[in-house]
Amino acid sequence: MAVIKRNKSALSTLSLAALALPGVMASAADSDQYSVDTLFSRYSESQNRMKIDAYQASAYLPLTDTLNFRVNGVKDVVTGASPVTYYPAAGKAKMIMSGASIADVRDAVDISASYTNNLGQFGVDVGRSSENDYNSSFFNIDSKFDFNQKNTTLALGYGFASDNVWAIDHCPPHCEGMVGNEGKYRRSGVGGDKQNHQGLIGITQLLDKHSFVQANLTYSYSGGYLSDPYKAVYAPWVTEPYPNYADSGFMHDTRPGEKHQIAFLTRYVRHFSNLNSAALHLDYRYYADTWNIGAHTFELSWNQPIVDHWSITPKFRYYSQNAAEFYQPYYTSQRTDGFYSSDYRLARFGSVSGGVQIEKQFFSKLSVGFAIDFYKRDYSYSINGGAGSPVDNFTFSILSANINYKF
Amino acid sequence: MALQLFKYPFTAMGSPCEIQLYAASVSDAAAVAQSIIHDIERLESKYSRYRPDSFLAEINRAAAKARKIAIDDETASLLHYAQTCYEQSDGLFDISSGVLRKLWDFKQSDAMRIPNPEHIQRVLQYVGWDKVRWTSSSLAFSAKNMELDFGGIVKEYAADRAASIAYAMKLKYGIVNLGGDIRVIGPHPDGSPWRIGVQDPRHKNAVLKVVALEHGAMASSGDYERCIQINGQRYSHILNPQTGFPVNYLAAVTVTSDLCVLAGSASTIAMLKADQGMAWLSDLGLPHLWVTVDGKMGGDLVDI
Repeated sequence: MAVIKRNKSALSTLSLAALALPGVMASAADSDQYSVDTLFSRYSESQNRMKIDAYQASAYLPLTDTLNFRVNGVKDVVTGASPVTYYPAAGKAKMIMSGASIADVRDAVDISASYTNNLGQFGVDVGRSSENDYNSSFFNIDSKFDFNQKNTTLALGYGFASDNVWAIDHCPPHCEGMVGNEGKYRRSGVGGDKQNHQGLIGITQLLDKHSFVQANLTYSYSGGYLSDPYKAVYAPWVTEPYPNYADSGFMHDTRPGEKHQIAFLTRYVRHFSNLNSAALHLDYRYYADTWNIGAHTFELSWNQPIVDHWSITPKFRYYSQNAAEFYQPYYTSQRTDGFYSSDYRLARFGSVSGGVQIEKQFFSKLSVGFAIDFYKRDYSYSINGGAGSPVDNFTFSILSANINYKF
Repeated sequence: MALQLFKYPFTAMGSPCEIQLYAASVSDAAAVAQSIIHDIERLESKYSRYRPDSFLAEINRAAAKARKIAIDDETASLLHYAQTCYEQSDGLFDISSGVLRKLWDFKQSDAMRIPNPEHIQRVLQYVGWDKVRWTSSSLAFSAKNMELDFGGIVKEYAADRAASIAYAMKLKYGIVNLGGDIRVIGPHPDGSPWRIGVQDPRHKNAVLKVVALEHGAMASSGDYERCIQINGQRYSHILNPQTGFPVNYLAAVTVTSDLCVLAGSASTIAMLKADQGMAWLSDLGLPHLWVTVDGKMGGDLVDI
């Protein structure tokens, strides 16, 4: 090393050596990059009920410093069976499943744009989702404004969805009156249109450099056909045969034609700089609607960056709801309001779920994540009241893997 | 959410430091600041001269006994950079020259005397990058009692890494100041530059020049506080590894560049070049400013 060279260009020689230092060569152009995300998740319920494989891909396209676009596509493949209705047997509800007859594919695509200026941030999202028995078109607009020296952020949003729902039967086996019509046909007498309007007002307040609180109030109105066309209720006074069962004593799920809903979310987030930038999220959500369902959700998560760009996030969630006013596992007498539903989602129940997500980043370009979640629903976990039945106790798991790549 | 400015002052590598970041939320800003500070602390604990548990201390224990030591990739690339500076400065920028500080106690300038020439010659035996042999995985010394010091490189290197960390975390407006070694992450969100004052080496609280930077880095070498006066002659604290004497021509040099590590070593090399420093800076072609010990000032940053 005693030889002292004199290069023509000291600057280029020094620059090359400086750029060879690890972690020095990066530019701001990398900061707002085009990126793609892909996600696969498998949802599977216990007792060979429903299974959903979801494939999602999205692309983030920053056009300028202030304007960016996102395109998102989802394909869900649904297979398995789900409860259709219940009937009393020895004083207990007995479930009738749909058989392994569900085989549906949902395709959804949405495009969103977001614009930021000194006043705040404005976004719009437009999309469409279609299945062989459900179509939905929707749009959302949202905005965020900072004030109080940017210690406070106000969020306002509005969303609209127009949906059309019906039931598809397969022939065989359900070929009653379907002479010569093999394959799929649309069941008559059920289905229809529905609309949903949703408004959101939210406020985020910085408490200090490490923590903030957030409160969101959401109001939704749904009107139209809000029943589930595949679900039936046990109604022993009904004399005409129920479609597909050639049996009397059942009727279609029949719910009110409108529903008002409110939800109030409060969230506390705190970062711990002395714990390698770990973050605590605490959420509580209260929900109530005019079908008399009330629900509480508590959620807790802890994001812990470990070494070498690995991070681990354990989560815990508790949920409790009471039954809709008109819900019964089965009916023994007629209701004066004419509303009947035995859909387990309207029952009294509680659930606990927990999971863990692990993420690893490679070279600041690629990040790969895996998550596993377990959910257990139980009639007795509810702290709320109303009708329900242990027949609807079940568990499910979600396994998911995601990849994000920045160009 | 619109961006807001968050400031994180801290002390590292013996200097007051500050990170200023524009982020949409406190959590975004805190995550980036934490990652940057974490990396700076990692480099400090690895390359500190003052910590007996640092890797540099381990290197210097090997150097004291002229032993060979295994090194990692990061250390090897710092040695490669140090060698390039040595070559480009005709041997003046030498990371083995720190041992000369034993001759000169800059903290006691009142009682400062020129060390006797024999003493200087004896210490100079322990100085010299040409006595160091290194590969990508090992480092060896052919003389005993040597010492390495990454002081002129690591702080600037840390500032450049800070910007990369911010970019990787999608943050692009901000500035990192590590004891006067400055790396701009990106301009203010409206595109306007950061305005950075260059301290007047003769008047502690006066600003010599305000430099506007939208990106890139600025580093300075030499400062008035650490200048010493011996027999009426002004000296800076930067030591020439060939003579063993402090340089006594330039009082301070400031250089701007895309990279802080480059600005830092260019300003140090210019100081070491003494009366040829101004010409060397002009040839190099980076924007710069110099002040001589007797108060003359020049360089293309002066005229901006």
